[in-house]
Amino acid sequence: MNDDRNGPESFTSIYEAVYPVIIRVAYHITGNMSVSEDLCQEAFIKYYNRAGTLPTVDQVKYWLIRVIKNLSYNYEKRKGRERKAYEKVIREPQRTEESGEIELIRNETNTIIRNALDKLPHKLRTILVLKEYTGLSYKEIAATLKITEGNVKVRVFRARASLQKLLNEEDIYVP
Amino acid sequence: MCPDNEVLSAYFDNELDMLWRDKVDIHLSGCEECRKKLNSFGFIRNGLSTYKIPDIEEGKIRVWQGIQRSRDRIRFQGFWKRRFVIPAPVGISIIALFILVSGSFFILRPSGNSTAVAEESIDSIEKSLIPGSTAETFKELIDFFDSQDVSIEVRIQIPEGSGQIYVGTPRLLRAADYKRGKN
Repeated sequence: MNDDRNGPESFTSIYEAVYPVIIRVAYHITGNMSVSEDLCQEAFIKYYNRAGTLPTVDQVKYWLIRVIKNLSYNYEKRKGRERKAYEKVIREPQRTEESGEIELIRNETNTIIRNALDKLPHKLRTILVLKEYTGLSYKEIAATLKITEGNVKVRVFRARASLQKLLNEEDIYVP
Repeated sequence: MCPDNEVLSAYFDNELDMLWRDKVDIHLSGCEECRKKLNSFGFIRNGLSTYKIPDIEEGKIRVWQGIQRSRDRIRFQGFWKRRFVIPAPVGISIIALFILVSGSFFILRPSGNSTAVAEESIDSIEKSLIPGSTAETFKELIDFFDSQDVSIEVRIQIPEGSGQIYVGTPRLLRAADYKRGKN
């Protein structure tokens, strides 16, 4: 791979295309932006060191999503939820553009959704994150996770049903 | 009849082909229960969308700089520290070929004192082993056996460690026939 070219297959162009996708995947699994950035750096370095090239940018994207998913879950397993919650309090930026009450409700909603997502099994959480936060189609998700489209369809529904059940147990504010 | 929940979920994600989409459209116009299910998917999506990711642009630059530093370190490592990856099928083939070649070498190598038994001419026999026979050569021995009204059992003992490969069953040939076959 030629790093100096700005064509579609250069490392730079792949980084530009894929970073926004994998940072979202990492963030919605780990809940921590700083950690997510570190994991993305690790994923791209793994890709850079990878002997052999992948034929298309899409294949690279799917490969990197798989890597970031595994890195994120490994991080989560290593650090544990208590420490993650502590780091979130320290590092999350505070939004100030809305009134205090709405901001408070929004933060509470985010926490409830975060907790509900954490409770989902990994398979369902991954599918929901890929569907709702990265804009991938069923076909792309199937190619990324190496499962069938039918499988994706079933898992998306099951993830929604499970999440709804968890959210119904809490009162959440949806503006 | 209501479509499966997975079909409704795929409809919500705009993942159905046109034929199925039209069918579901028609069904939804008359089924409140399925419309409620669709609304619940919208509720989930709205709920998830409130959980927003912070701005990614600053981090994108930071991560890129980190990658550049790692790349520069890798470039200066030199040839002998690089990783080489051999695909598994190629690696297995190389190992199998090595085993085959080295195995063949040990099986087929000639032993120090062997000549092909088949080519060795037997021109002397141990007379004491055959009472009543004055045969000096193997041919005379065969003739002697022919003249006897007895059945004999012939055992062919191949020297141990001769490095021979045994194929088929042994049969007795006259020297003349053997030499004719060779020619």
